[in-house]
Amino acid sequence: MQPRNQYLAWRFLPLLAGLLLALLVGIHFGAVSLSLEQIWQGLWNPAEDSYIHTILWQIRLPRVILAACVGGGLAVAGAAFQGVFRNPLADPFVIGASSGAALGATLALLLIAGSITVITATWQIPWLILAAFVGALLVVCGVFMIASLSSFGRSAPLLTLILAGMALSSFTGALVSLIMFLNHEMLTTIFSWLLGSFSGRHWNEIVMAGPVILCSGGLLWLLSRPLDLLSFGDEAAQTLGLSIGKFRMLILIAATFCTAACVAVSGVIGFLGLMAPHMTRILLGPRHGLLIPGSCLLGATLMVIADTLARTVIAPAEIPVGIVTALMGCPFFLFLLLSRGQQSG
Amino acid sequence: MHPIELENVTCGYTRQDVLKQISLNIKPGTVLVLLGPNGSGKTTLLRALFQLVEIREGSVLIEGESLSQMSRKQVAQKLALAPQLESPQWPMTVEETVQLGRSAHRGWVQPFGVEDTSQVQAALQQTGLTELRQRKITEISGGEWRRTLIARALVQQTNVLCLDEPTTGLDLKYQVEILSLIRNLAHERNLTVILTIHDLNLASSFADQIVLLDKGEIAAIGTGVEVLTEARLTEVYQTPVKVLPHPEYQTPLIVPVL
Repeated sequence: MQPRNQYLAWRFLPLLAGLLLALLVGIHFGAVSLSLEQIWQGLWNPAEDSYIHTILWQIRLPRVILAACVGGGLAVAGAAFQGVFRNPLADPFVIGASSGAALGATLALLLIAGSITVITATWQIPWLILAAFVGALLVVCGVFMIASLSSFGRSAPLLTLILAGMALSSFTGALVSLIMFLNHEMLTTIFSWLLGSFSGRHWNEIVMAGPVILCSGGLLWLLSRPLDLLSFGDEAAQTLGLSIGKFRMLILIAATFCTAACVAVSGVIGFLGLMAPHMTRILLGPRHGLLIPGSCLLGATLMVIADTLARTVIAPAEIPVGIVTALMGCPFFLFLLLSRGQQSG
Repeated sequence: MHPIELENVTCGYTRQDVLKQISLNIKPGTVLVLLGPNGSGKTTLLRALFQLVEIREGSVLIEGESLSQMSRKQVAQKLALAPQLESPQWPMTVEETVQLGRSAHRGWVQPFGVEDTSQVQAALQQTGLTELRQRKITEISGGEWRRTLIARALVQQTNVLCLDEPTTGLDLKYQVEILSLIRNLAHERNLTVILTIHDLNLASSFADQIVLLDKGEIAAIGTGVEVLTEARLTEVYQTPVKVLPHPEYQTPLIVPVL
């Protein structure tokens, strides 16, 4: 068994190489293209004072690093949600965590700043993460309770879970729309924030959200074995020694925290948390010990690519990155639904 | 000390009691078969041992310790269950599935070690799954999946092994092989085995002790010869049967009267 584990560790290398390449491409492309030589020199001389240095350290690097953090965080949260709900179609977006976080963050911005603006003050971000977390947790618990009640305590069926997620997502979406309606002078700002974007983000966001994503993602990785056991169903996990209530709660809190941190700094970016774990499962298998770090690398890569496309395709204008991930993810989601339909039919 | 003792156990789902005032002491190294018609409470009795059903009255003692005082992990170190039905969500391999049976011994973070690997290999060999160990569990037959669940229960290295309908879906060869394996383990390792089964003749051949359940109560308890009588089976199963002596083993041979 030992040699095979070592062999599996080697399978992370292409994922790591892919992420590095995506980061490099992300730094290279933009209004001013940076050559490999300029990037190399800029990276090793951080004190240098030039426009290339400013573009690299103040614009490109924080942006690609934040995109990688958010992509990795959403993918890890997606893998955890799929594992804990035993549902291949669950992700932070489908299950309502993202929309709950968006509602929480929108309300927090209204209360903190009195109006919705792009985050500029460092002190706002922890409150934003906390508000996003509370919103996300309330919606996820709501979805889970509705699904459990309708299945009389047994494993929540796929359809009920999706429908409950859709219902509560629509509800929170309506509340966000109401806030937009009541603050119509800020309509464009709210709308573009909700579509998800890394535009105008700096090191502040990375410093505040990065550790939350790292800690909650790390905790989820440590909970890999409970996630593996939960995949056999509640009763099997219990007979194999797992206190499912305690572990499920811990996994949900960690995944929700991870989602909330991502949404607080980037807005609502859908489908990535669904796509990355499925693609990783094909590459590395379904064991969460490999799936979670693998999803993190792949999610980060996909998000950096999506963000690079978002800011270059119609340059100098920018498409919200949430639109790019939805365009990439929607066909994938439908493919998944159809292939599952064929399996069960 | 009895590995399992039930004292006046009443348990059930929602409002209905399924088992009523069940008292039972199981000796170590015994193959005990739970028999009874559909809905008699066989599976519920197994589920009660794992706290998967609410115990309303009475107590369950596992190796002298009260079940209600034990954590899930402690129970999993003493009792293993191969369930009747389980639908896996992700396509793990047979070997990975069996390995997860070692979880209660390794905690939730500690990696599996050499001892776990050798236990897994032994269980795969005992259940005839060595060749299939790299196959995905979503791509194996129902019988192979059932053997995988038995192997996963074996690697828990418990003194009590519970099997819910272990022969369902297996062809005759594997039915005999699995039941022989279970009986050998019980007698060689002093393992206590509790299994539910529908086939009266298989129960008669393999059980050291039979508990016949009827409407949530114990209708009879004892050896095959003592329990499997024409009058009792006809009454419990509400269909006429003939009980003949087995031509070779002299155990009861049950034939329905058509």
